[in-house]
Amino acid sequence: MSVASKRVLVVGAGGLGSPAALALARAGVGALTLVDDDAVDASNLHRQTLYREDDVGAPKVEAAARRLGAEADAAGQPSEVEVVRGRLLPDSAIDLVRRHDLVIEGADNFATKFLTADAAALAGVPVVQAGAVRWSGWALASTPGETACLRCVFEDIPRDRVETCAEAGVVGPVVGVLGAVQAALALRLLRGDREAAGVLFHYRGLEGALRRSRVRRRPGCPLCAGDIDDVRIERYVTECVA
Amino acid sequence: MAVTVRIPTPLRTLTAGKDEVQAEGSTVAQVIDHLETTYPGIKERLCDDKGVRRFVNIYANEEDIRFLDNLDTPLSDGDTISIVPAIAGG
Repeated sequence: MSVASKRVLVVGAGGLGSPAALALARAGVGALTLVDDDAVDASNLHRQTLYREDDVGAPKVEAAARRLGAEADAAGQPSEVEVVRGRLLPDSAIDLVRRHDLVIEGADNFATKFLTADAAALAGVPVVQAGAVRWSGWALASTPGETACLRCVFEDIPRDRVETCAEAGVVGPVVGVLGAVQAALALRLLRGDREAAGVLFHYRGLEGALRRSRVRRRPGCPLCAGDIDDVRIERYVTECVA
Repeated sequence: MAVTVRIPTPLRTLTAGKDEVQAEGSTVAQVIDHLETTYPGIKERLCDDKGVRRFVNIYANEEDIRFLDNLDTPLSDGDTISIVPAIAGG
């Protein structure tokens, strides 16, 4: 099945979004929409493979769109690239997600991760999410109403202190591996392979180990049970999360 | 009952940098108690008064203990426990 007619929303054009979006553009996904509020920083260049030194200071989505367009053309797979310069926000998230066939999320904060999970479930769109810090990380694909979601696995935004990549750093190849896993899961889902969802991948770079655990829907998960029926901003605000 | 416990990066400050340690116990709860005697402070990072903390996942041989017997999940000699915390970076 061709993916040329498919539209993918990429939330976060950083270390995970770079390899994932590059792989999808080169694979011939027809349209990519990039969402990110950040500008390219020199400290990003070791892992955010969409950017080069002369992009420093430019909005990530604009530099990424240029590069992805060129990569897609170079692969003979022209792709339409749209950009949203800003964060994924509650008041527009569901409408934005609904215009796509799949969401890839590689944001650097829990609020965006849970907002993306909720918006995707409420819009009925599959989502592939991931997170990484230092030498390890995870990836999970979820199909709405069928398989375990982010809230089945990690429940809610941690109220305790949790390290982020901005504080602890992340090793380039770790997001390279996990971004590629996200792209592979996305392509499987876009081709109709529902078995790609409901598996938690856990990569430990220092061991060189990529493990998978099948995760089930959690009884009492408020998103799967339908208790979460909107994405009001209060759900994504905490005092402690960086 | 000796099991192997894989320690995620954020908890290695408690295990002197070790990414894998050995522990004793015939259930997950016993293993965590044993870890606490060797690496004080680790139990509080994994559990609260309701059980396993909400943003921590514990796997016994790749199976989420929430779908087994949770902290009472029985273990056999040579089993592996993996701890997967929520991580936001990207």
